Amino acid sequence: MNDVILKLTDVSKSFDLGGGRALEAISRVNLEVRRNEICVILGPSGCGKSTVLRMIAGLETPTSGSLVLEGRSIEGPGRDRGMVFQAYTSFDWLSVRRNVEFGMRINGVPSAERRDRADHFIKLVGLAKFADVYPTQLSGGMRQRVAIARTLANDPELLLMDEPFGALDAETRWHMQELLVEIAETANTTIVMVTHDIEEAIFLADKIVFMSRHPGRVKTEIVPVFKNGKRIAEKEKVIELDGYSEMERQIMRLMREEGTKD
Amino acid sequence: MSDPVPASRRRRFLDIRKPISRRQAVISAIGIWAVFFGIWAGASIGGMVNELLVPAPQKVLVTLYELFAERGFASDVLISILRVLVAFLAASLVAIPLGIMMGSFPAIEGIVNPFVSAWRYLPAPSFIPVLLMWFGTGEAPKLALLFIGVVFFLITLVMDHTRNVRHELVETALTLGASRWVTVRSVIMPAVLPDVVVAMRQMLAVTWTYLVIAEIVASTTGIGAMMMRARRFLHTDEIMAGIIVIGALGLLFDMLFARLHRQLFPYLGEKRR
Repeated sequence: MNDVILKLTDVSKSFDLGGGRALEAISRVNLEVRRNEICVILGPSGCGKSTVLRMIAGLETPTSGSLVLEGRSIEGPGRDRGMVFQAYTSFDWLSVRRNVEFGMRINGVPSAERRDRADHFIKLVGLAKFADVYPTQLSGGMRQRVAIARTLANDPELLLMDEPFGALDAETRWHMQELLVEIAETANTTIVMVTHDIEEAIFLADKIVFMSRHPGRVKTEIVPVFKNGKRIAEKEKVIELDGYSEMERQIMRLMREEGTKD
Repeated sequence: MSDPVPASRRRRFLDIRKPISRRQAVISAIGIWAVFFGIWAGASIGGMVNELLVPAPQKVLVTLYELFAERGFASDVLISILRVLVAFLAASLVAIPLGIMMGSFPAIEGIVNPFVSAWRYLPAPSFIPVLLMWFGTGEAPKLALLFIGVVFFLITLVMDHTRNVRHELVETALTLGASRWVTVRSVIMPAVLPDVVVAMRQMLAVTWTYLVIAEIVASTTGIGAMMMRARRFLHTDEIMAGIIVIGALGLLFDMLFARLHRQLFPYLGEKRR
């Protein structure tokens, strides 16, 4: 239960601005994620939190440092690290079921098993009635649920989420957050999520990694100890807990410090 | 007694971006053509135009019937259609795979695009003399002109549409474990296909333009050749009949493409927003 499956050591990333100048976006980030943990990377805009996530996904390469997942160095994108984006990524030409089967199909999972797993995850995200419709007929929240089901059905070691609920309206967003807690419990998933939403971070996270900017580095790690190591699937119950407001205030102060830095 | 509807709530003829009813659309479409033929008929009956240069519309329609019924015009029409289809199919077979590869792999775009964009600016008809010298007077020079006229534009259109496939879709496929080729085949291609069909629809209209040029310049068969023969004998009515046939064929193909688009991509018609 306690074993570290993802380890980032002194990861830095510079972008070439041309003319011999370089911008150091990420500086010496160290990070550990344990199995079945929900790790939320939180920080002000421009702190490079998405870049860190994209490096874990293998979609960006670090300038220096090492990223290791289960003893293997991360060299490029792969099915062991499935990503859910903020923008809708449903494949519009496939039905919901075929979307969820997509990863399994390209990875050669036999069709009977494919169908069973797809059914299971479609049900888990509450889309059983919509398995045979096209994503274009669904609302934004439902399309994100398709993306989550598609990623989980592909059986990744890590579920990576880049502000997955950022484009949703407030009500849909908290429904989705509660659903994610349920899914993490049921499917035993390890999640690394990026957000700038403090409430979302405290509600979902087993561990919050707070990043500062210019350059992006890990400022502090915050564990919402007031949850007593439990995951609570109803948001208002978390907000009612002693310690919630104090933690929210603490993080807001951190955000403000960072915001007035430049 | 109810209040009269306030002026601001009443439907006006000119409402910004308010869709019109199907009825109004049909009446408008028929109306504009009725006005066109009305002016044409009025001008010729009233003797306002030289009958030799502008024959009456009813005369053109009679000529059109005679062309088909008595003078074997159908074979000219058929050969024109075949030329368009063969050349367009060949251009599509080259342009669509190439455009998709260029839009997917910048390395391929880097090689091919400098070549293609130069050719795009050369007017295809300027190749007619050399095509005639190379290919003689058979079908080959006509098909080659149509091909050259269309293929470079179609490559560019397909490439641009492919480049516009959203990057998140590609990255999603990669993080699901797709290889480069699976990503191209299973995500980029189906994502760009609806736009490819739209581009084909646009370029088919251009193919018809080049067909008429090819047949007027260097042919004894086809709709364009018939029109050039008619010009020699001052048969304006036959020329106009030819124009009507080309217009009707263009419209027909356009409708077929629109229908194909709806059939192939049912998911696009039912967008929630």
